[in-house]
Amino acid sequence: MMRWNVLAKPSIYRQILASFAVIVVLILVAGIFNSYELTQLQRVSQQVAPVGEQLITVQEYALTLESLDVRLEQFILVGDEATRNEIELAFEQLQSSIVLLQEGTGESLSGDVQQLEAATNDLIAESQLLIATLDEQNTSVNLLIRNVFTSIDDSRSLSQDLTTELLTLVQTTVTEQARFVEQISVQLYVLTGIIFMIGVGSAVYVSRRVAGPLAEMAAIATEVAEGNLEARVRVKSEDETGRLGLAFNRMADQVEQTLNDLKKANRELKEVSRLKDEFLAIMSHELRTPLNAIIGFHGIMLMDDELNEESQFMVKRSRANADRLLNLINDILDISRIESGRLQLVPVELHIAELAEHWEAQMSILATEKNLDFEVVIDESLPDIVYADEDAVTKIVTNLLGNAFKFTEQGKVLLKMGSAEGKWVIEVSDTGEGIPAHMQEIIFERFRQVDGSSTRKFGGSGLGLAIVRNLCLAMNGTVTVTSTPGSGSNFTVSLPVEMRERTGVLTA
Amino acid sequence: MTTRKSIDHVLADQKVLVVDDEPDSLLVAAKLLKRVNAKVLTATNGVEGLEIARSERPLFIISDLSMPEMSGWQLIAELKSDRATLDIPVIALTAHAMAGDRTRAIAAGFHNYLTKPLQPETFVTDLLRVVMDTPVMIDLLAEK
Repeated sequence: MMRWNVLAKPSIYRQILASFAVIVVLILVAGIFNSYELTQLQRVSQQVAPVGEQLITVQEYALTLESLDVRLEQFILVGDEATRNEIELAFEQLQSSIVLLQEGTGESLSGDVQQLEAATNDLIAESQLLIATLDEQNTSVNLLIRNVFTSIDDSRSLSQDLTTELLTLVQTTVTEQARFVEQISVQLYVLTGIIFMIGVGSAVYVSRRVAGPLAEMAAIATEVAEGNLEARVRVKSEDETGRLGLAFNRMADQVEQTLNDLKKANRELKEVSRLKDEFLAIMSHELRTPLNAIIGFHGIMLMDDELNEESQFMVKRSRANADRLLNLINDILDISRIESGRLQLVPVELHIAELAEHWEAQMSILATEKNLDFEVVIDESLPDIVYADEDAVTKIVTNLLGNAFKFTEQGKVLLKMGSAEGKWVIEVSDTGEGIPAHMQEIIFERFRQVDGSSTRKFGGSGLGLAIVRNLCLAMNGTVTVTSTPGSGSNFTVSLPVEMRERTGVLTA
Repeated sequence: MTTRKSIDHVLADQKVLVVDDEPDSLLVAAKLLKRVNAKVLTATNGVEGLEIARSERPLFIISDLSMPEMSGWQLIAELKSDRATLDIPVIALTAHAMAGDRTRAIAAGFHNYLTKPLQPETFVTDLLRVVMDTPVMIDLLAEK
């Protein structure tokens, strides 16, 4: 919808409108000119038909005249009644033709018609006289005959003259008609030519005014898309294309701005990520170093066995708390690393026998302390060597074993390793308090334990199983639990890893 | 087949060098090694460690990584570029535990890598486990 105040600014739309207005006006003017000619043509055409009729009437008159000529000769020779009647009839026909001509012809020919009427009347009179005389057998017959036939000739030549006049009239009319047709044709051709040129001219002009700026804008847009963010359109006019150019430039400004903002934000994000990595690295080191001294000294004190019972107990408890603190630190750092995607698994060659021995040694102390049976079983289906990330596997097993010992007061903890369907299967079972069915999924979530109060009773951050599951998933493996509250629990880890016998080929 | 107890005797009277700028960590490692009758040599920085390594030619070296004056990384480079010391296995012992650390350490020339805090009860066993496959240890075991 164009608002009328747009007239104030230059506009291509207005120019197009103006061109078409001119074209329409020209067509109307042509129509008006031609209408004058057309009316004249109409008038002249109307004259033709009557003239045609008059020609026919004159021809009839001429024919009747010839017939009269013949009948009179006949009458002179024969003189019978039938011929006399035919002659009378011919007189009537001649007179009615005259009447028609008088009525039908225009002013220009009325003189000729009058003359013809006079000649006709003379002829009729003389013929009648001839007939009367012939009836009386008068001697002036020859003279009378001559007079009659002279009158016939007069009438004939006059009717021929009239014919000629009428034909000339027709010709003039037709010529006039042709002239008007020609004039109209010329005018139409000229006008069509002018309209065509104006039309083409307008189209070319408008398309250049529009296409030119549009092409330039397309070129600039391509440049911006290819990376030259500073390219802008030159705005040369105030019309629609000019406004489009301004709008385009504003948009390009916006794009440049946004891109720069994004680059900056990205740099900041990278920096934050780097700082986080640095933080983790530093914390990892700083938190562990003091614990090395604490755990180390406590261990040595206990091993030296030179303390009295009370002191020994306190040192043991102190050591246990230090271990707890270490586990907490490890768990936090692990889960932070895993969840920020910084975990990198490096599969290496692992010797099952060695691993088993190590874990057994590690846990046997705890077993003795809690007076629990601890057994490590290696199924012969499991090859001697597996390829997996040592830290990850160790964490999984340590966490599961740690939980087993933590939640078992009496009975046995079993670590069993084997293979099934090409996967390394690790099972940790205990005869502890078990896990109710509705909790068996929840315990894998962060900070969740079977019993909220367990944190106080058993310690732990609740992160262990979350870490176990994350690590299993990272290795494309699974961890599942089965448990009967009161009887014990069984955690089964299944890892798709490459395995081989000590002197054998790889089995995946 | 040697049992766990006899493994501990392997280190009796053997020179072992421990390098760590943290005095407490140094003491823990030294005490644990002394319990198996090893001859423990200590250094609190890389420069000192390098000197002792050259003059005493220990069986193997345990070194922390981040130390002032000369870090563990610089130390290993020096040790490996000296004909006198390049055959001595060096185990990195450090509280750093980030992804790729072990690979980096081995690439730099360390034979293996143990993390702090160490388990005092199993330290010696773990240590022997990671040096067991070095030429010097194989020779030593053959002798015993």
